[in-house]
Amino acid sequence: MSSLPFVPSLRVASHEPSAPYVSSAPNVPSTNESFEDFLQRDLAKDLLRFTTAGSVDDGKSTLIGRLLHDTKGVYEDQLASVKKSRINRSSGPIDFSLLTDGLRAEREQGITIDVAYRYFATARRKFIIADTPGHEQYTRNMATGASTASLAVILVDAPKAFCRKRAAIPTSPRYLESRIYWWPSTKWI
Amino acid sequence: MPELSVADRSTAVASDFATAATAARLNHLQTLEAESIYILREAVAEFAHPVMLYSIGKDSSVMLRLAQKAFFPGAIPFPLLHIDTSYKFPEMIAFRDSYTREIGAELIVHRNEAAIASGANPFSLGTQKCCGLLKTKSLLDALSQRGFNAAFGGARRDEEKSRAKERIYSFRDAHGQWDPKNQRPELWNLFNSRIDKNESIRVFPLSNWTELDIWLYIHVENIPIVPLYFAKERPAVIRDGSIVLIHSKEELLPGEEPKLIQCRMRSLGCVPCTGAIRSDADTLPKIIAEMISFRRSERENRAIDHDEEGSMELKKREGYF
Repeated sequence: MSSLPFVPSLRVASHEPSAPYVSSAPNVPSTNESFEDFLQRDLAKDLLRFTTAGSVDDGKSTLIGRLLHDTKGVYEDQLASVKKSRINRSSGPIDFSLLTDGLRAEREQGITIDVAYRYFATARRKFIIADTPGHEQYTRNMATGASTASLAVILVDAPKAFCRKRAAIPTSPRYLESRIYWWPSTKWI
Repeated sequence: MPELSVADRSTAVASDFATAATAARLNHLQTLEAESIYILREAVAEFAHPVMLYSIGKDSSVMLRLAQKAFFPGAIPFPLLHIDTSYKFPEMIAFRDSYTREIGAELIVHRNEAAIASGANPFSLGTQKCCGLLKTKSLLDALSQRGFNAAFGGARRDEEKSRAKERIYSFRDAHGQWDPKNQRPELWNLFNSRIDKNESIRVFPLSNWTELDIWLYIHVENIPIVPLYFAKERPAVIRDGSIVLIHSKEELLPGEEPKLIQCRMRSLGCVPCTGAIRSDADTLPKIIAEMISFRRSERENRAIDHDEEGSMELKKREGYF
């Protein structure tokens, strides 16, 4: 996930939470906008459902946590409870994956077991993200999330994918092939 | 919302939510509405004994309006079930009785009378045990005694992290329990309604709505809600950092003195466990503006979610909504 062109902030390895990556809060009425204008603007938005796909530990949940954080889709108290959690597997102050791993077992084991749905909005659109598991044994949960998505963001951990032998990451290639056959309604980018 | 009738939208949606929404150029709210109506109709077609959990809150009000739309001009083809803990706000009970009468809905009120008579309360039992008796047990008893095998609930995935994990059709075993690590696959808009005797399904038509969507819909559709949501000066005390409304002297703990506070409720629950927030928002546009500027989640003022890490998940496993 070294260069995603549409999320330039992700180039930055730092997890500094207050970094000003988002220039304006996208879902907030500007100060001189009337309520009616805000309402019309909000009602003009459509809905996009997308999902993440990728192998175990390639950062699917972390990407989503980061998207939620940067679009101000995370509430303060939720962020606070993540900050004070005893678990933190990231190098920065916030483990963004904890924002979507909602089950106790997930937080304890540091993996995603079942799909979690999260919500955020930009100035033009509302989004529903399905954060799906990468472990082979939870493929049916991944399929559940993928089935209602119109778009998928594929995450590949570049060093793992290209520098080691393919056999080292058994789930990825097979997983991607099967997805293409099974989910023809999903558009790939 | 012009252009397409409700019937057209839901029929279109039955084939494919995403494609239909794009083709018909539905905005996000119309897409959500169509999806919810599809879910309501689907569950009514599939289950012999559905019931709708009616909690009197804003989400329930939206769900009820969607049920009216889904079966219009017919009556709502299932009863509403309110689990009354005896600690609900009097304003909620008054609203419940008058509004359900007005729209002609069948209302069942169920209370765990044995626990209420033995004096169950959150102060001596703690919120977990109190909720377990007055809400979860009461709900499970009501569902099994009356033979309901599908129950609509107004829970939303954006409310809380374990609710973000819910299926739209959430399977419960014969004890009414949820197994979050072993949920059924749920592909496209095909919902699995197969259950054995005593098992049941919780159906969540509002799964994909956010708090903002709910308020926008209430505004656009002009849906009546309990007056407690609007700011007003009310007698209250500050207890453990949250504002607790006071209706009678019996609710005061030793040493407490009520004073008038300009406040409103952001979500409705039981009097002792649901805090108010300081607010001047006395109209829907003001509530929406306040909500957007708020950076705290709505369940934050609910004592029951904060007993311990993952407490909502534990309650849900036992059968809580």
